[in-house]
Amino acid sequence: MEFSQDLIKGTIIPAVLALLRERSMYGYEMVKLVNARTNGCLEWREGTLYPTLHRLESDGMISSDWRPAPEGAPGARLRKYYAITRRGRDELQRRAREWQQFTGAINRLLSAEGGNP
Amino acid sequence: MSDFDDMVARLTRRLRRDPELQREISRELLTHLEDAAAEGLHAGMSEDQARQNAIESMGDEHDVAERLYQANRRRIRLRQTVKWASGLVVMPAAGVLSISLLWSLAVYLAMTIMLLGTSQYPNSAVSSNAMVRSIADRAFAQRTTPLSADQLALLTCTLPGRTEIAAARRLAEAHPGDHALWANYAILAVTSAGNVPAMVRIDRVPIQDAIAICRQGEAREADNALYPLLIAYLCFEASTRQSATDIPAGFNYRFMSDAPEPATFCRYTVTDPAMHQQALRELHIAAGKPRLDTGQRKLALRQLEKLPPPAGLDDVLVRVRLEASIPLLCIAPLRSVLQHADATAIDHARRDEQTLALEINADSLAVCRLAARQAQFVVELLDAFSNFDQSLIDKAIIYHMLGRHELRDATLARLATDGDVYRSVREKQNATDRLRWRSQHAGLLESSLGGVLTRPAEARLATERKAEYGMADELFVGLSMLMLIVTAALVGFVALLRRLRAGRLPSAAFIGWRAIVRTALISVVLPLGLYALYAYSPLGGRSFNVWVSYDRLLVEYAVLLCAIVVLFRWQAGAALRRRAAELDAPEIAWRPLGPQLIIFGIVLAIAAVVCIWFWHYDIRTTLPIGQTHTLASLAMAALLVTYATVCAIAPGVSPSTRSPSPLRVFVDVAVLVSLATGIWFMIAVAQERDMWRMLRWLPKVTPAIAVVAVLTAAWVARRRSRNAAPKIAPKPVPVACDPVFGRLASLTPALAALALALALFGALPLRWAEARAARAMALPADQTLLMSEMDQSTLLPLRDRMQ
Repeated sequence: MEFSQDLIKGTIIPAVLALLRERSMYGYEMVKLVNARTNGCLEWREGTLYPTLHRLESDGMISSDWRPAPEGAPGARLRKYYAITRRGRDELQRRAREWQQFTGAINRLLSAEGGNP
Repeated sequence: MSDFDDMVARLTRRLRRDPELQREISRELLTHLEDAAAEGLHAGMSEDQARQNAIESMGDEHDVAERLYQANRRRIRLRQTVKWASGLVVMPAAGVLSISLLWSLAVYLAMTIMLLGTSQYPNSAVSSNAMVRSIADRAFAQRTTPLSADQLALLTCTLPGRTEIAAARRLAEAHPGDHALWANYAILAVTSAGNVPAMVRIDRVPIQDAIAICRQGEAREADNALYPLLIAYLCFEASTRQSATDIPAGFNYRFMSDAPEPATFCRYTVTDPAMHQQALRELHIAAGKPRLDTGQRKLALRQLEKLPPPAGLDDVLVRVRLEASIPLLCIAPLRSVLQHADATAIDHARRDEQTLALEINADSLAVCRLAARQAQFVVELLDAFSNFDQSLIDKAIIYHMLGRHELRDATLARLATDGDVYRSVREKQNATDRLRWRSQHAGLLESSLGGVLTRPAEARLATERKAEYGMADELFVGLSMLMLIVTAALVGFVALLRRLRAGRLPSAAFIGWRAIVRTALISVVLPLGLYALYAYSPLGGRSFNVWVSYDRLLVEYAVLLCAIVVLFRWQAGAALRRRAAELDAPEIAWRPLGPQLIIFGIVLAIAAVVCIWFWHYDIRTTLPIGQTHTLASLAMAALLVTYATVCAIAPGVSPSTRSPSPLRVFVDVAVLVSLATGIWFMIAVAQERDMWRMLRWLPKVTPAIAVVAVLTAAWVARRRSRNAAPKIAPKPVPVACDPVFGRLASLTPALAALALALALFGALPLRWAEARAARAMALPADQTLLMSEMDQSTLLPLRDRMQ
């Protein structure tokens, strides 16, 4: 099942922050990881991811630094790694609460109409 | 250009206003595309298919380009604003602070010239030296700005000048009961009228005005001889002419020196007999008065009270400027009156008018006694005594002309005895003044000027030595900042030239604000802080009574400069390399410096030989240690600075290049140099505490150790750098970059930060040092000329001789 691009754009910020909460990553790694974990349902476009990363860095929620790629890794020699900041963690918590309340409200709404969620 | 490069160029076109950011984002997107293509190849796709897939995964180009611009718009604006603000604020701020420091330096130099004046009075340089005078005038104008009109008038009313006379008149008329103010007004009016002889002879009005002012003063103080003497001065000046033709009197006399001096006098012509007679009458009246009070001491004390406590050397200059003008203004007319009177007496003696001649001479001697009795400044007393003895010489000339040789010889005998007393007092006075002023406040100067000043054996140089070092620090910081600002300006100019020649905006690497701060902290703040800790702790020895301090400072500064240059080069170079790698930009290929290194080694060797030769020469002979010590220190400082310079430009020697352990090489050098400096200082302390003979062998070894250490460190660093493999391999880059402009432009903010850090370092704590010096110097400056503060046992014999 493919989700609409509007829905993906609306959830990309908490998704990025949640990924970076685990460890530092570079952009391509994030794309691959999301595709793998969602079985391709949540397919990110790189054109959406990088502006989001730059905006989050500009807002101070993530930071970046250039590191050499691991020995034997294919592709480029240096990669730009992103890491979550304290402000980013706070924002992630806020977004998670907001998402739970939102999905709970939508679920209740759908249940009240008698349909199966 | 590949398909990836084309696409990335299209995506980032809107970011071209910030070339470095555009380059960074391009690099990131290219990395992503290369990773995606490599993944496709790994999955079994063809290369074309893998690259096509990677491009398609980016999505719609226009949409992505717009999103990238919107996401980074704030960063672009912020960076541009910061760059603009740093250019607008940091460099001008550093410039302003530099100018402030240099002004302090000028004031310090003015104080130096004043202290080194040849006169026994430290204020003489204010009158004679144009630089000191202009600085003192400027400081005076600044300090008196907040004063009220009355206070300002009181401060300026003792200075000769049209506006000052008006101020003196207003003050005198506003305070009719204040005799000192009226006396000052009369002195100013009389001296300004008498100083313009041509005008005086054409138009008598100024003289009559001045005489009227004196008459009013006489009415207020009938017992004061000042006013008749001032009138006599005006009348003498307006009614006589003196020519330089000397007529031998026919005998020799002895006064202060053992060599005989011929008695001479000028040809004296009376042009207005009536006025001349009036002058003689006024002189006679003055001789009969009980006292002579110029009121200048009262005014001087009141003026000094009006000034704020000295907070800087400017304040000291202001005070000395005031003192320079106060007593000397009144002395000139009184001395002139006595010279006229004695010349008139001799003229009468030539015409065999014995009674008249002796009466006039008696009047002049009486006036001298009055002046000595009421003298309140040292300079007044010495001047009165000098005039007294000149009158004695003239009295002997009168007796000689009248043929009364026994009286002449008795007068000359007394003159010789007076001369001995005067000479001993003068010598003691000079010794006291010079000892106090030059030993307490010119220690660094004394060591730097070598043979110009001789150091008294009993001088203790510890007083206020810390403040003096503070001044030297200020000089060092000021000059360093100037060099930095000039360097930054040159960097900007070269960058501009390159930009104009290329006709485009070259890409500039920005090492990042964190890297700039780290570079400034490690390379500037850290060494300066450590040096400040060292300098102002007992370890620095700045409060010790060490004579040779100038050359020690030179070595310390050289070491500090070395540390700053090497650390700066190391940190800035590392940051640039890091950033260049991130952007995939080429590094500058430094040219090897083989022949230059050889020349450098030869220079080092010659300098070492010179050093050791001077030390040997010093030990073998009895020359003063200070001069050879200075030369040896200069040579050593030259070595250190040369080493640091080579470190900054040559990768073969620099510990900042890709040698395996740059920090270790630097620490080796720094430790050895510090050790040499420490030993050097120990030698100076030993010399001061008369342990020099025990430690004679040390100076032979110290420069040699230092030079060998530097040479060895350079050699080791070069060997290491040759054997070392580069950490980051150079890689061709897709976008051309101007490396020189990039490097220079990257260093500009760091240089600006460096200048600002130095400025703050120089501007804040060193003001304290200047204030300390000012406080130390102001007290003697206030009191030097006042009789009450002087050694009475020294000066009172002069008065006794005149009674």
